[in-house]
Amino acid sequence: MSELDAPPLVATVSREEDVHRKRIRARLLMLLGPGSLWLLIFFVLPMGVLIAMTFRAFFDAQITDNFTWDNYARIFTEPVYAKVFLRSFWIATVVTGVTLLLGYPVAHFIARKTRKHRDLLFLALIIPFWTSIVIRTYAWKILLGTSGFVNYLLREIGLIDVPLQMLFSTPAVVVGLVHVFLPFMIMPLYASLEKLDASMEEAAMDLGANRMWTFLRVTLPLTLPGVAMGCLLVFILSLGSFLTPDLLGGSNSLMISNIIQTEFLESGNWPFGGALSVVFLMISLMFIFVYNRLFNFDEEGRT
Amino acid sequence: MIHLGRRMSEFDVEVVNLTKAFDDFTAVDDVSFSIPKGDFFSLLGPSGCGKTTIMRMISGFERQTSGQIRIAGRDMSGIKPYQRPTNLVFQHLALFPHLSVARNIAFGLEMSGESPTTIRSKVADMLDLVHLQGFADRRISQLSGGQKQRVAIARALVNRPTVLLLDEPLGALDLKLREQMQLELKRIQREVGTTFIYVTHDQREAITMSNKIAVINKGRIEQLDTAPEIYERPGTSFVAEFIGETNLLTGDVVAVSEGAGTLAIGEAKVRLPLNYDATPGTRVTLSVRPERLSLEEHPADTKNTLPAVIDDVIYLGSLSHYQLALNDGTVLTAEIQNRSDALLDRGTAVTVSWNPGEAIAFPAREA
Repeated sequence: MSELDAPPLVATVSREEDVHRKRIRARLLMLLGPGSLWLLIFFVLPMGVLIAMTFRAFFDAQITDNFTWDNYARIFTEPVYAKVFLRSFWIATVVTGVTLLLGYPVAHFIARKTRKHRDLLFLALIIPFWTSIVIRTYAWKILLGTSGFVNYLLREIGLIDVPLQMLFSTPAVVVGLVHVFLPFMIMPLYASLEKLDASMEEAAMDLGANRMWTFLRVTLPLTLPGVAMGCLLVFILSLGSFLTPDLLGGSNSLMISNIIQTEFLESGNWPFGGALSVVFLMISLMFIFVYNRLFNFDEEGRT
Repeated sequence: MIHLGRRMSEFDVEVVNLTKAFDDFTAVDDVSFSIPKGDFFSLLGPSGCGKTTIMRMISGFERQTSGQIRIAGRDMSGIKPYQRPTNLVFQHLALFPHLSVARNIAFGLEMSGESPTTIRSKVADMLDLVHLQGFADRRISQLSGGQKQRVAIARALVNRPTVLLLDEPLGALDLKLREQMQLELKRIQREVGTTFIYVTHDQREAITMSNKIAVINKGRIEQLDTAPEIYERPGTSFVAEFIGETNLLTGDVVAVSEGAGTLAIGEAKVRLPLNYDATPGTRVTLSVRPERLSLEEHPADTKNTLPAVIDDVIYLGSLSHYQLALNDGTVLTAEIQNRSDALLDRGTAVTVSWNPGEAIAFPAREA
């Protein structure tokens, strides 16, 4: 808000300053150069190739050189794609909601512990990352399968006679994604909860707010930046997830990435797969943009 | 009238045998005091003496190990912080950064379910009280240190608590602003008539503002009295040293005649005040305030005298502080009114003297 940097008093830039400015620019270039080059070669260029590809017609299982808008038109006209997009958004929304509800109490609990205990709990949070997602997702297959642990338990306590079909369904995908992405929710929440002075909550209680009101009127509003960050992370990651719906989902719970994969690897229709990717990317960027707009009170509201 | 289960009391706060033990140490050790309605009461002590713990137990954020706290005659055991008739001005104020000044002050009223009209008028009253008219819609980040202080006080007073607790709220301000706020606090307290408990490590602050001061050391009350009493008649050498400047001299009692003890400090002998019941052979610490020392050339026979050499002179305008080195190397400070005659120079040999009755004697603390 307050721009303390005053405009230069004198318009004439001395030679010395000029040299100094050039030196700073050179240093900046050296620092940013390698990373930028990497991104240029391995991200921007392939991206360009991919986008160019989406305007080429796919005919008779061949990628032709003819220009066409058809690949994009198909996404917006064939209802099956809208359905997959909507389903992906729905799954991502549910996963975000569930991780938020599960993650907030955990983050609050960790943030209010003493330093020593906090480190220990944080380690526990990071341990799952030492195992590959593939293995962890297979573990859910074992747990949720018709002869899996959950069914065994339910049968033992007499709740069911016939094993439940839990795998290859949307709920199974949600369960798997919640498990994988929970730490991504907890970490930003923890970061903003830890920054929150405990006396803020005490002040609210001192002024007559019970635990619920303290949370709603003080803790939650002051940690909204963390909530927004966690939600954005989990939402974007869930939206693009491929492995979990591939392993735990059925044909009715396929997500965008699964469709894109099918187009590229099974149908060989790179132009159409590319078009799906581009539309998907645009929608994700739109979300990030809206989020930024909504939550950049972050800097203004604090301190 | 019969009050069932609620003893009427002339005291707003009664603390009885309060003890708080943590795993490895006792923070508050058997502390008792009572504060009459409308008093300005200070808990004064060095950091880590337990004063903040006492305050947190009164406001309900900490539970005592044993003892009782009664507020307006009501036992506070098991009463949650948000149900107590106490409010707290936090050390770092803890104003809500996401709410405006008015919404900060209104918080307590909103929590007790007041109507919007009542809230508006009460918030306006509070802004008047703390002289912040026109600041209602400001954000907290737009306020100066002193203004924040005022908002914190208004926010804590708006619910008309029986007791307002203040946890060193002026610590972060510069000296001038702090002195100004001390006067403000006194004025506010007079206007609202609420009992204030002020927690501080700054003896000046405690002396200028309080009706009563409890000097706390290592979790215990060393002395509980009015400011002049504590200054003039400190009960222990800790209090004497902590409140104001003082000179401490320690020696052995060598003789007692007609109730007056004689103390040997190195080779010199001085008389103890009459009110001190001296026993020969015990070690005694004598406390003499700098303003009680004089550098007369011919002191009266009834005074105690010690030879000294002027080590340094600090000129302070209307008065001067003389640093006086005794034979054994002890340095005393004498505060002398400056008269028209010239200041004494460094290195001058002088006789420092005082009336025996103007010193305070304590049994010496074991080293």
